[in-house]
Amino acid sequence: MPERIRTLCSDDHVLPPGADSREQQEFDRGKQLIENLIARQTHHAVDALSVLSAGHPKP
Amino acid sequence: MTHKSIAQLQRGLRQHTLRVEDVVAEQLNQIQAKQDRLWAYIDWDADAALSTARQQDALLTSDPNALPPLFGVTFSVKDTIDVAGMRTTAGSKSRVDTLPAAQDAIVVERLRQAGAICLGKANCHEFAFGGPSFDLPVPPALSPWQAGYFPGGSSSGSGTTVAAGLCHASIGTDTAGSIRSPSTHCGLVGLKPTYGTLPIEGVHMLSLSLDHVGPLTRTVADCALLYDVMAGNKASAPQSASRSDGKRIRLGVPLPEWGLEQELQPEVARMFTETLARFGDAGVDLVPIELPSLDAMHVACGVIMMAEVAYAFGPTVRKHFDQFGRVFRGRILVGERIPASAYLQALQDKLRLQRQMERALSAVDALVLPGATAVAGPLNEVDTFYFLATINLNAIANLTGQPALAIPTGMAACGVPFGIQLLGQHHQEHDLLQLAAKLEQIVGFDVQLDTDAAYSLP
Repeated sequence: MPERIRTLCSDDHVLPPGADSREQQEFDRGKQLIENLIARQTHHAVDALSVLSAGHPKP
Repeated sequence: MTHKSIAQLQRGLRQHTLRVEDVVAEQLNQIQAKQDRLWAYIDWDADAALSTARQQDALLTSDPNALPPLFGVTFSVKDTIDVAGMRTTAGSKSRVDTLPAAQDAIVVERLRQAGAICLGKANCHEFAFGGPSFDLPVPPALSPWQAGYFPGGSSSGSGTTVAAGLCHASIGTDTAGSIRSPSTHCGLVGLKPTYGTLPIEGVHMLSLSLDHVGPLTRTVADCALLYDVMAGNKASAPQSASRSDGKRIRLGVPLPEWGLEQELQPEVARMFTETLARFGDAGVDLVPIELPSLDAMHVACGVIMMAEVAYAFGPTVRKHFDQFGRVFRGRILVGERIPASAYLQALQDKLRLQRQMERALSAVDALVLPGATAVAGPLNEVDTFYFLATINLNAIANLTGQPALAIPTGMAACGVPFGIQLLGQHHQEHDLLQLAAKLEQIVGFDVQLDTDAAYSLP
């Protein structure tokens, strides 16, 4: 489980009472989209680092 | 409405072929008549607007030289922005019983001091984030161009009120395109100024790193006028935006490897290519430029926005779940899944991408992009997570903080407008508006809107 900002922290995988199954499905899809976003971010960070390294060779 | 611009309106008022009271009364009649079709407004104040209108009519007769720069101009205000004496509900059940705002937001106050007449609060997505949603106190605003269509968002009512002639201008907010999206889909001009340029006091914020406030209008000249007043500058004459300096325009266009075309609906790709061809035929230099990664900018903006809105609203949404619409609360709770490391990485990426974008634009007057990746569709088909599932071109300028201006360029096959957006250098709003005025003349968008026909009204 990756760390989360304390005030954002919620490990709840279900929505509070009042949500129906369709809303839960949307929530699950939203979580997948966030995971996808973070995976792409990691990919871009590696790219940026490699560009930086190429421009500034280590001594 | 017979006048298409503020300049035309004010000419008619000065020549006494129009009266401010009649203009305002007609708009109020239309607001009432179209409310249960368009849901453009959340609330309006007819008495206050008519009272100001009468004062201005008296001044037109007694002392026309004393008229303020925006006399006769009516405007709506997105309901996340305070207007003294009116409730700021943010389109949310959670705020329907809130007390009326004690004072105007600074941008509202400046417009009023310049003579503009506030008609009321424009409909919007819940807290400028959760919509379109059908479980809010007021149904979602609809496009005046095509029955049941999405007018863009989250400043949806701002777009609808101006496009439908229910006011002359509107104030919206823009966190990931919420001014430019309704401008693009409603055939309007919309400006997201440089980050931090316009005061945000009295504006209910969503994501502090990305939020902006700005105007939506019918023409570039109107936009220039509104922007100057909102920025606290001396109002420039609307015509000044179309002055020609004889220099060739250099518009930056993305290199093919940037991947823009793959993200566009085929119809949008075709319209964008046609617009660029028209610019080229008119003598505009189209300069291919290398830009920072499109996906990296989309991702960084998405991560920052989702983390910051979850930070602002998460605990309240969990505690008072039923007080929020399902689209808003779903998005907020999804935002809670952002790890702290991802948020911090995104803030670093923001600075790096901003520098890269500044360098990329240094050789051109502005970057031109489509107003959106797709034309507007039926409102009930809008994906809850459309801004994450597909690339959001508007998010680029929110991330980099550069000024971005949407202008209309033509009509899609389904009968709704479409447009482009121009990204300029930081704090160069006037240059961007001058440039847009020239491009506006080249594209010559002048399509007659017939909302009554679109909605089969008698």
